[in-house]
Amino acid sequence: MVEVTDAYTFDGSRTAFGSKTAVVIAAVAATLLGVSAGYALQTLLGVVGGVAFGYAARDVAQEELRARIRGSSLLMVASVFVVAALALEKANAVDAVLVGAIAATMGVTTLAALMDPDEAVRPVFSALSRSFLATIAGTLLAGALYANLFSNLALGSWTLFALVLASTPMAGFVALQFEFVLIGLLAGRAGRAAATLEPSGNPEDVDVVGVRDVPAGLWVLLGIQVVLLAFPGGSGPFEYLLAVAGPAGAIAAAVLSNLYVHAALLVVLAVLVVLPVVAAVRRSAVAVFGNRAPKTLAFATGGVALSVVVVLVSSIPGFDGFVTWLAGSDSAVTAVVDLYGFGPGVLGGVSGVLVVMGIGLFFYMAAFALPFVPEHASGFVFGAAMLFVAAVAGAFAGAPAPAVFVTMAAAIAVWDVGEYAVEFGAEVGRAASTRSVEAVHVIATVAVGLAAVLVASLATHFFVPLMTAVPQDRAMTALALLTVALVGFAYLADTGSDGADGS
Amino acid sequence: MNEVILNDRWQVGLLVALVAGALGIVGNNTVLFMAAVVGLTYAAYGFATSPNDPSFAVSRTLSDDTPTAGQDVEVTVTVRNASHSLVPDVRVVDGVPDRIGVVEGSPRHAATLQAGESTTYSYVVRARRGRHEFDDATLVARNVSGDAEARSTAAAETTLSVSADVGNVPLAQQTIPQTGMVPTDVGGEGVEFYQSRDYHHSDPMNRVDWKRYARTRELTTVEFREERAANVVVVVDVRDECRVARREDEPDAVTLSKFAAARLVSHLLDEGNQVGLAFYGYDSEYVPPGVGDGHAVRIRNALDASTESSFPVVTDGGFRTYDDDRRVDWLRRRLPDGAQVMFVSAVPDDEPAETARRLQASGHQVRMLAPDVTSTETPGSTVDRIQWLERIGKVREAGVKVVAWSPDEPLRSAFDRARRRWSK
Repeated sequence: MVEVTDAYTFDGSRTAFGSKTAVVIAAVAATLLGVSAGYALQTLLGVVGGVAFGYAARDVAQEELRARIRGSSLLMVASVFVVAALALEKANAVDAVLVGAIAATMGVTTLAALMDPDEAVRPVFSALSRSFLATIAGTLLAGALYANLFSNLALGSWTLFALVLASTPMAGFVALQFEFVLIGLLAGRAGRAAATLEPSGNPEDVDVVGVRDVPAGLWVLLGIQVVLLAFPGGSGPFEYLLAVAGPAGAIAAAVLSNLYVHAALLVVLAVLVVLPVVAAVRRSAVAVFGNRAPKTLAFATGGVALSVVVVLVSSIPGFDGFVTWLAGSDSAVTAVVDLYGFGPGVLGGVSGVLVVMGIGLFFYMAAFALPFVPEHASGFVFGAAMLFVAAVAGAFAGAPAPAVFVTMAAAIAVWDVGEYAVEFGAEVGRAASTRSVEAVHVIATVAVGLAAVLVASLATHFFVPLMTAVPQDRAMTALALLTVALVGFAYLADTGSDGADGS
Repeated sequence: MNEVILNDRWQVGLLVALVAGALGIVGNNTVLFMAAVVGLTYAAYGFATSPNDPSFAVSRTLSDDTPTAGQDVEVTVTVRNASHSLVPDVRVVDGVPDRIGVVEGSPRHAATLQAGESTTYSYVVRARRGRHEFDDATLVARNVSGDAEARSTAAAETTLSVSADVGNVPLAQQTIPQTGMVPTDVGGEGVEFYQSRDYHHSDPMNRVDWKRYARTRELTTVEFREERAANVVVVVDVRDECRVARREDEPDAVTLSKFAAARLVSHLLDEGNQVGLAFYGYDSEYVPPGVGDGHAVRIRNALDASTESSFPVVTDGGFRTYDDDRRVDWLRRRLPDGAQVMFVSAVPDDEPAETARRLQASGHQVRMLAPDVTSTETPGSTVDRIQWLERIGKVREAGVKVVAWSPDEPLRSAFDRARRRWSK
């Protein structure tokens, strides 16, 4: 690192040309590998999702509220793309690793090209955790809607209420008293709540509407009635009174037990309860967040927005059927939608991906703490490692040999070009023109990679068929000796190069 | 002398080869095993590229070696590959002096140089007062694989000398009977023609206009504009009201005023004037007019010293207040007869105008140098600037000539512009 003290502001971030080239190399290699392995759509979704993640991480790391909101939203878009890519898999876990590694490669490499990933780890983790809470809440809501929990709950309650009303007129009498008392209480509270929600309103103006205080004696009386109702024969005196009243008592009993009367009063109660609840939510929000929502609240924007959209979309009648028709009968999507529904499935999948991302961040930070990882290593190292994993997964997934070789070479090239851009930027800065020098280095690295791919492909084509005739024990011995020779060669080369220091 | 540093950059190829090969064996995957060839090829690439041992020649030129303060100077750096081999990656960091600010371009550069080839780049610095020597340029050369770098420095002696001369200060014509540099409206000794008058017997012969005598046979005497010294007291406004700056990272008006006063005093003393110094504000520092190097040191020390309050104050119900009249009276008691005043003030309020008017009424001609610490960057600062211009107008209405000086320009430019305007 060149140490100089300049009087101007020095921007020592990675160079634009090298960073973009590393991203392009990663994208081309990942696409080639994924497509050749038979997962064109999944690869495309993974690449787009990964790039979106890179930009999202860059945005959430900004200090501006708007940028954080944009980043959080983009983070959800990236998660949806990754979920879609993984959901469209039809085969085994190796393929999932392949697509996941492609997405991770593009995400980390794109982020490393945009900024120092170390600076983005903490805000991305914040965005992930807050959005995760939002998507979990959305998943529960969507699940409840999918299982018709609310309608079943309402129907069951209403049925039980009707049975109670039908059992004795006293039940209707007690219910009617409770309904009127609650309407009186809520009328006053609703008026005051409306006044507080209205900027120019004054709660004192509506103070006279409704009941403010209910005498304790009334509550005691109602309690006694409920107790009487609960005991067998407790409603006997009330029924006797109605019987004594003759036709008037019969009419009163019919009115008290009439479902429509109680339904009308319950509707009025429901309407009146809305305003106090809204006012209470507003008061709670102001108490927690103050007049200005904290910046970190922006981190949850993506999760909230996605949950709302998914819940609304999944509420459209027939939408689940449309999705299963689109995905096909043998798709994992169809199985998930049939089992859990579209809304819970998507939001649950996104929540899972967010958790995986968080774990990935943890491993990202942990990886750089390992003793054999150089201190100056950048995010490109992680991107290159992910591309290497993709190449390994591609090899096991049956991808053509040249595609695996290209991906392997690209992994090294991404690391080399990316690290070079980081070092170049640190020494020369972004203000200087570096493109031509970087181009020389990139061309050399890519040329070596192409030569390596050519050599590996030719060797695979010509020598591998010959190796099948070799007994396994001899082959293993030869490979062990080759490994020892490699390690020895590396040691000798390293020892010999020490003497070249200085001039 | 190069410092060659080798790194094990491409041993990552061996690592990839070993991991891929091992996974291929363990997983019984031929393709993965053969992928080790890719890693081996990259490792071989690292071993095959040799470290280079380049040498460079660096030259540096300035568009102007002796600019005035605030002037932009283009620095052109040429780096030549003096070795006999290609250097695919050479990075140059020019040794910009710490106190010089780069305002355009970058002092850092990168290039690929063939043997004997040169690369030239330039950047712009803003000159600051003083003498600034450029440091050696630092060069880092890498081979094509990037696993070996050679570091060196190259000397290219370059000095940027920035003149702090304030030029010709337009003093008032109030002078003392000593020869100096202030042109007066009195005929006598000097260099500039003033008038012709009838010959007197006491006139020296070398003043007779002989050409006119040859034409008209009339004896006339030529008089030149007499140049005399002045007795100048530089008054610096150091009140708290002047503790305002145009931007956060810029000096405030008091600092600018003291800087300008130091230049003025130095220049006026060099021209043979008697120069004194007074602080206008909460400080009673006063240096009576004088001449000589020792006097210059006294004034410089006074300007460098703190301007904390020590001015006599009156109390009013327990509150400390400052009486504007007392400041003026304090000044008038100390100003020698015939002394003119160079009032350096940012004019943050109406008080300087009133003070200048009263000093003029006391028989002291006043010139004002007003550092401009206003801007038009925001609506509020624009309003502030409009008010400042109104206050400057009031000073001028009081019969005081004002030199408005922006910190973005040298003092010389401000005085030249004022002189041109006053001569119209």
